[in-house]
Amino acid sequence: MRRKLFSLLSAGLLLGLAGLAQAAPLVNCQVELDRRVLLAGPTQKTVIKIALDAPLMPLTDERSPVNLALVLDRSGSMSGSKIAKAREAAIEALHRLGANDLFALIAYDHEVKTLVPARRIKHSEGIEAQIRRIKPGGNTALFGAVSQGAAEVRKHGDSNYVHRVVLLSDGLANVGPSNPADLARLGAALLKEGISVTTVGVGTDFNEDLMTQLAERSDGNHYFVESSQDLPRIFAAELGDVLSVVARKVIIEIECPPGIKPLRIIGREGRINGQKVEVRMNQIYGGQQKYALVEVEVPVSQPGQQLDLARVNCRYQNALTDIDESSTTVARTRFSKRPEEVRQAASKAVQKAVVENEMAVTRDRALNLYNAGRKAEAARALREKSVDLREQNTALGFSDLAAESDQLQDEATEFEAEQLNPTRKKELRSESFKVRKQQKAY
Amino acid sequence: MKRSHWIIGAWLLLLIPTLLIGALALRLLHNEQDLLAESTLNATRQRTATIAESLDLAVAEVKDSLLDSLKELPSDELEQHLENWRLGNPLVRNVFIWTDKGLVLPDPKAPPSAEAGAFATRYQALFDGRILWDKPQPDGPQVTSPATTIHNKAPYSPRRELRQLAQRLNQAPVIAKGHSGWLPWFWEDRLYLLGWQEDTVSNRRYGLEIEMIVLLSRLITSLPEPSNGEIYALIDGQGRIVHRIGAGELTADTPLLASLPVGSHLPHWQLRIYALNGLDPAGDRGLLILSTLLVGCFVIAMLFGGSLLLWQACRHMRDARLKTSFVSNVSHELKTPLTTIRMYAELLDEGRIEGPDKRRRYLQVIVSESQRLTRLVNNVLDFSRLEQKRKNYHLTPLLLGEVLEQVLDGQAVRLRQAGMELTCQTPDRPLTVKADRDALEQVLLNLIDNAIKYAAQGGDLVVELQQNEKTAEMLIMDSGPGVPTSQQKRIFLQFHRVDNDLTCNRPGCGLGLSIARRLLEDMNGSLRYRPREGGGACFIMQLPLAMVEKRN
Repeated sequence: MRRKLFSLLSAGLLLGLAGLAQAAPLVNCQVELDRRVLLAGPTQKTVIKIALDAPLMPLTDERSPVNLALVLDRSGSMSGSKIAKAREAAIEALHRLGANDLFALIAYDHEVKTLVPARRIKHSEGIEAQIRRIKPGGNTALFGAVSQGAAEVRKHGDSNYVHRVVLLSDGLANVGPSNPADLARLGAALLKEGISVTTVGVGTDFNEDLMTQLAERSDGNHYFVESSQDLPRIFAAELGDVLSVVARKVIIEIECPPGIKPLRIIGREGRINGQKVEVRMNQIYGGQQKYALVEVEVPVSQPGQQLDLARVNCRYQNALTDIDESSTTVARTRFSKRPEEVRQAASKAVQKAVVENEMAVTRDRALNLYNAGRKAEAARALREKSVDLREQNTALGFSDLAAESDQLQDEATEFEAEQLNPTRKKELRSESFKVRKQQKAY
Repeated sequence: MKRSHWIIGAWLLLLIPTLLIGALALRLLHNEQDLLAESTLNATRQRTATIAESLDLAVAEVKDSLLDSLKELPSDELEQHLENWRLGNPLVRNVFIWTDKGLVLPDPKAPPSAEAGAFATRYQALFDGRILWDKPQPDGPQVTSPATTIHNKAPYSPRRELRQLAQRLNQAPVIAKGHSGWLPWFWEDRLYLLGWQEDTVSNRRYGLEIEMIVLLSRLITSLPEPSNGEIYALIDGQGRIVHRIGAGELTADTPLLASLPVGSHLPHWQLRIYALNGLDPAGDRGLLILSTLLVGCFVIAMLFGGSLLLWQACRHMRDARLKTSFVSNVSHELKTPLTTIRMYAELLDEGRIEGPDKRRRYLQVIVSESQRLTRLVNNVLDFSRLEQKRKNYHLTPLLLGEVLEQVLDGQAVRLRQAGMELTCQTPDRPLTVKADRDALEQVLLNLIDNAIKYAAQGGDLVVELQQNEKTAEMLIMDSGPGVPTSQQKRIFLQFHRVDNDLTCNRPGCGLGLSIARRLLEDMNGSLRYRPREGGGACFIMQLPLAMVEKRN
């Protein structure tokens, strides 16, 4: 009796708390500059960091339902322990889903087979048996498989689910379109529908460009799994993300007042249209911070002057309540003529993010150049960026960040070597992806 | 002879229709198989056409809907609306606004993104005015020119017809706002689709480029599931497989069942259907094999039955013939000694024979003739016993040499009368065989009879006894004409006699050798023939040695 009373009381308390939480915006939008105080003088560049924070969800059964399509590679190269671990991982993912979630399973070799069409999991035993029956053999029809996965998810596309396709592949797509750019555009189109594609690359033979771009453009995660032993853990991590989505269809709009010129978005995909900058994310996970870095050009300034750099509006759909919410903040800076003051006001956290993202972007660019056969240019790009970052950080007094940027020098040497190891390429790509997308460590 | 003709005739009557029926059935089966394969092929073609058409219409519907949406975009703030459309609609890859002076959106000098820049480059020829904005696509009602109709030999399709009907009714309002249309654009080996709308008021054109990869991604998931053993493949303008469905490996050797262009909305694209097993599906081939087997069994059964009947009939005829000749032979054989005995007995009875020598000789003739009669009757009796398998043997150890001597002694007179010289070679050691005495004597008598019959008057008879490892061997050789090679195998058959000439000259009924062999075989022995060196016959008789002696 007493226990019942207690549980009633606690439930009431939680409800109250939830109500309280609903009143405040779920996603906390913060704006920070790399230097709170800028040196007065001629036009200069500065970076605005727009960070989105969301709390961990209070109750697991309150989470947004998930619409998941698992797309498994069963081509000949998967045979052996890879397919066994993939099966295990799929079952692991299945076990983490709840009664309201939708699950679809697609296996592909040269043909695409929908083993389980999208449906609620009432009896997971049948699906488990289906998963265990997957046998490897054949080619890799990656495009068809992703299309089919998206088609399964789309069956419930109108409802407020967290839509997600998880693609596992270990080889090169050799049936149908296989150009990374094409798949990237498919990813971008899927993002328009609110479908994210998470790509899991197993081993060292898959096309990392294709897999990272597909994930990036659709705002999914990318995992590079060298040993199939890690697959169940990776799937668990991915499900952890998917199940903790707190906001969907996130649009960050940054509007700069006249005179301030937005130059570029560092790390993320976005759109700059005149004074407007727009960055879109498909979802925000509870307990994780996502951010966008925007570099702007500040006009000629006087000491003591205060200036609004940007108005940031963050719109999103609350995944728990399906209500559209938004929050607005303003990025403001002050000018000083004393370099001392500027140095003190520099934010190390923002600068660290900038350095990491700059390095990631440069690595990606270097890899692209390298893949295009322009080895020397790739190394040069890395070196130049390294020097650039070193100077910048030394000026601000962040010697450790300056040291970090030296890594690029070592990598430049690697790029100049006889041949770049495919594993290394995949490591660089996935590492850079992780930084730019703020993907949780796995 | 006439009866055998009848039999062969009847057999032929059976054989010819049977073969005819078999051949006819096989032919019909093949025809049926061809028909089946053809109808499968036709059905497949039909299916290909339907799928291709549905793909084409799906693209057409997408185009129509996009163009409709384009028309409904408000003219003011068109730029913003187009941009929002691009950002929200997965099917829209790029949007543009164009005036006579050139591209307005996206700005070709400062493209907002790499994609927009690539777009401007891609359609530069069009935007510069080097290429004319085309008329609407052939599917539209305005351009059903004879050339395209001839080119598109597509069969009548109610769905297409219905769509065209709907478009015809829609025509008037389209012109009110200005022309619109689609332009298929080939750039770097790829197909792009550009939809445009003319705005007569502001004298500009605006439109969109379809995101082909998304269109494709949607199209391929709507393809129907192929039936077993078939593969559907969607081929793009460069002959690359865009997508394939159906189980099984697709190689260069996989037979192609049907290949049709998808339609005017995806120019140069093709839909192909491959069949893994070729034209005839596995089930039908099974039927063919089964039917062929059945027909084969029927023909074989008929032929076998007919041949069996024919063989039986021939055998019966031969047996009947042999028995007839046997009876006449036996009668003749019986008649000759009887006549002799009767004649001499009558002479003696009349008492006109003078001199005891003569009388004694006459009596001897009577005795020898009656002995001959006895042998003959014994043979016939033995034969019938053997035929009925009622012959009993009392196998006892016998001294072969002793038996031989006795028989030869008994026949010495006959041999002398026949003028034959007898040579007998026996080994020093006595040979003991296990045999029935009467049967053994009968065998020896038959063989000696044979020799006397064929080698009389100056011939000789050689009898040799030998011992082999486990058998005793007796060679009985005469200097007669021997047996022709062609007959050697048949002399041991019952009723068989070598030839008619001999049958005429020599008495006999064709039983002696046959009975001798069967008796010997019944006693675990054997009888063989081989030609004697230097002419004549040699019969080799073998009997197992008695075990008693072996143990000693």
